Amino acid sequence: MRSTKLNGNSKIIAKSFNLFYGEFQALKNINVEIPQNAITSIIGPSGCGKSTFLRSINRMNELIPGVRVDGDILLDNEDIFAQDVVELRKRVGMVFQRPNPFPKSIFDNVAYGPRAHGLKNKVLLEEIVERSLTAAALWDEVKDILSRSGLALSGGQQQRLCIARALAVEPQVILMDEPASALDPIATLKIEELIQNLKKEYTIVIVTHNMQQAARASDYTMVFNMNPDRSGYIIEYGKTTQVFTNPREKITEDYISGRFG
Amino acid sequence: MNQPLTKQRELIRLKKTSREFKNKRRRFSQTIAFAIIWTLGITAIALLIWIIGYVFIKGFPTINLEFLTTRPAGGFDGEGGISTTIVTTIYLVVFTIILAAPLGIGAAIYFIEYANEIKNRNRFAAWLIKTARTGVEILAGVPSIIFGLFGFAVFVSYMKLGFSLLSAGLSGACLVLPVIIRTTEEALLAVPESYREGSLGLGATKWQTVTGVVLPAALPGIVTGIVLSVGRIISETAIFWVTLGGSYRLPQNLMSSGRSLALHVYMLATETRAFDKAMGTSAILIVIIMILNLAINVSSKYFQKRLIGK
Amino acid sequence: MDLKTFTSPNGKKRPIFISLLTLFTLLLSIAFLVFGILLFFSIVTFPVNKWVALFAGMILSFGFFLLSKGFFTLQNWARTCLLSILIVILIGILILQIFDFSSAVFAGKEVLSLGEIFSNFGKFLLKTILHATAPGIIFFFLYKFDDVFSETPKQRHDFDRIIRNFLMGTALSAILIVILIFFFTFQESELAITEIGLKKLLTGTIWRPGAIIGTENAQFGLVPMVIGSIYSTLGAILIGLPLSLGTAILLAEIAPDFVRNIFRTSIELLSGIPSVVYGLFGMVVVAPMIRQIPVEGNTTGFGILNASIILSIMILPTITNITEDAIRAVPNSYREASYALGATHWQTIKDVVLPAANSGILAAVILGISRALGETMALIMVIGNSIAIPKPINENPLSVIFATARTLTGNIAVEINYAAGVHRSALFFTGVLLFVFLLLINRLANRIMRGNKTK
Repeated sequence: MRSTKLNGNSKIIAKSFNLFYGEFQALKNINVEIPQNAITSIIGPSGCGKSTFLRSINRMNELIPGVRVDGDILLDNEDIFAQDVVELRKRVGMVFQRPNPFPKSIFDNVAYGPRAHGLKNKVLLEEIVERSLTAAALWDEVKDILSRSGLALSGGQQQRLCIARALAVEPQVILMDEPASALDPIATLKIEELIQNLKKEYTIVIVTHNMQQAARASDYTMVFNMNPDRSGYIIEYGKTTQVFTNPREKITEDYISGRFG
Repeated sequence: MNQPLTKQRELIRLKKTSREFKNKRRRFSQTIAFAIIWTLGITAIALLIWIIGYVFIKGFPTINLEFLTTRPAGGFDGEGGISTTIVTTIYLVVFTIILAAPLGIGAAIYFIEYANEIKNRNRFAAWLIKTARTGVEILAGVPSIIFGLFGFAVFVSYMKLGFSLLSAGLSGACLVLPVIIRTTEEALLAVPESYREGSLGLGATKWQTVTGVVLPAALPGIVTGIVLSVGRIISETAIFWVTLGGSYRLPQNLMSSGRSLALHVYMLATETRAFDKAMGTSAILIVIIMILNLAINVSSKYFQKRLIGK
Repeated sequence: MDLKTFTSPNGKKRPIFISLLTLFTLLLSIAFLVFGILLFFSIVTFPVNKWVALFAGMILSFGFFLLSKGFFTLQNWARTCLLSILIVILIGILILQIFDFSSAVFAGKEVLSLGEIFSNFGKFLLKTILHATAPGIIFFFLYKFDDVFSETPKQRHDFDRIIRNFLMGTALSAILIVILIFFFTFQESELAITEIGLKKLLTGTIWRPGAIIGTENAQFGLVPMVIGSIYSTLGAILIGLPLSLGTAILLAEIAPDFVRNIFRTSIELLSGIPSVVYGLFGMVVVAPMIRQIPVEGNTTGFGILNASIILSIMILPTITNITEDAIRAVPNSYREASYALGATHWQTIKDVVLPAANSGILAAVILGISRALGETMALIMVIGNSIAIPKPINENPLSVIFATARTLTGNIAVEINYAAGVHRSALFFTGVLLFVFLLLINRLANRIMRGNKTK
């Protein structure tokens, strides 16, 4: 696997990272650097570990019994496995594939994170909710119905609500697992715009199946593939323009031109 | 094939009639079978209606304000009413639920939310959890007289609490504990995993996730379990016969004896001739249980609506 | 630390109220210590062991000292602690006052008149408000001042761990109770086993506890009760099984939806009727009916027949529900295959669905049996409670159904209140017997049902 060496501006670094579900190895020897304040997309055929890798960055895999990891993942050059996982998840937020707002009001959904971390001041909470909903391009649509249940919104609005919810804890990194795959094209476009705006302040990593989306919307791209033993590995990663127009590996070129996957 | 035409036709005709005959016979047996089944089913329902109807018809006339507000006075003709029994039953229910609900809900939360992480790290803990689960299963199948016996041995005799609300409440709590644990477990399992993921992904601790997201979502199911337990306690006789005693005075504190509604029916029926009053008390009991069941149905529908969006 | 300018970790100044609380808890801490010492040296008296008083005083003192320190540094845990204590106090006050109120109103021969109820209610409100004012005010203000307090992530983590251990404790309580039940009932029955002997208990045919003829000649054979239980359960199954099975088949296969709904709610109602009511019904309605049957020797109307009838109605919901579930669980593909071959609905049910639901039906019957064996009060009321082995009342052996009997469960309930010594121990032994036996068949039924699900 060949890669571009980034100029030391990496927010997240994975070194010889392996992950096992019991006896089965899901990720093999992952080495990659994810740059700060940029959008990095993860593409590759189904089942080769893209989501698994994403979920390793905020240690969500630990919720699954029997998971074992090997190697390092560093956030700002600190080992994520050596820190408190709760604090880690404050710095690394996640948006899931299917929108999953809580059965609470819109306000309580967005305020949930800050409240969980100890913030109780009502004035501050209101500020944060407004700020997050604005950043998620949802404020104008819901500012008058903040007390209504989050489940009463449309699919696209629910996903933006989940993004607002993630933004409210003021993370530095946002992980997104196919955030628009459950949405219609118009909602998808809105989300993509939103993500472009967010990259100014956040480091964003997106797993996506949609190659056109990766090509047009991300700055860097990571291409995954599956080994014969079904473990996932990275074929190559680098600037999106380079990966798509001038891929270094043949497999990458095959995948991008649709010859497999 | 090479047979004369008439014989062929004859054979075909025979085949046809025999098939028809079989069809007719099969359909006939089906009709008979279904008739029997319908009869059985309707008999079952008829029995129910007969029992409830009889109790209501014989019982309601005896219910009047005096019946409800007078204390039972004993005697061969069953003087008095049921005032203290109603209050004693309420005391009993409240006390038992106070004991059993936190314990049962806590245990269920542990089994569903916390046990999984421990199971993989610690062999001993995993075994302990499995044994605890079997324990709950065993408890669920124990007949109430055994709980009564247990309560009698431990609370009434050994701990010298005597026939009292305390003994009865403690025994009753053991009785309904498995019910609460089971229904709470089911309610917790029904909460979608995505809620937990969402909360944990935001950096909340496990306990914050449980109290902030999981429990509120599981509340309707938990409440159902508690209401079911209440119904169980109200209907129970054997267990309280040997732990509560049968005094018809109002219990003044946790250590006094008393008489619940169901116990009163039993004592009226076996110690007095006042069958009409027994019917009256039974009618009240049945109505209470019906109201409880109705409450469960209505509240679960209400909570469903609220979950989907105000 | 400069008292005046101390600010909390999240930058707010400490309000006066909290300072007062700090002082208050500190004073309480000192008071508990002093009180404990005074009690120890008997300068003051209180009906409690002096060592206990000292120890309790020291612990409470230390606890409140920590609490005051927590308030001083504006820690969140101190606030939660005090709030919980206050809630417990407030609820305690409420409960005590309710108890007082209801005692005043209901304890007499008759419930008080409306006027008197109102005046008592007034007293209740007054007393509650009086007692609850102080804690209530503290609670209210403490609740409001929530943003002054803070906690570190480490504290949140530790709290999580404490909660986890606490919850594990509650989970273990279930097994603790089972162990206790085992232990106590076994222990109480030990006397009977050593004095009477297992053989006599299990095979003896006479039950005559010493109350009548003196303890030396007492006999404790359980066989009559075992037979009583078996006969009544058998009878219940004989009557109840066809009814339940028929109803289950009706609901699962044949009846249209609206009929199903009516039946379902009815069965739910049926399962909610308390068992005493069944017993009452058996006494008042079924017994006279049985008396009408022109059989020689049939006088009371109580006995095995009566018990079987009402028992069958009691186990109806159990067997019907489980059987219906088992029938519904049979995959539709089986039915479709059968229809495609030209079979009628009934043939499909008889030859395909029922055999496939076999294990579920078996489990249902076993659970019905277990329910029937465990039933106590209703049977006491209708089965006659005679302690002899049930025998036919005339030459026809079938007439045994008119004989009175006693069940194992009934035996316990009827005699436990006045039994003593070996007699009582023998009753506990009966309980142990029942417990173990029902345990085994319940496990069996569960295993059958679970095996069915994984198929």
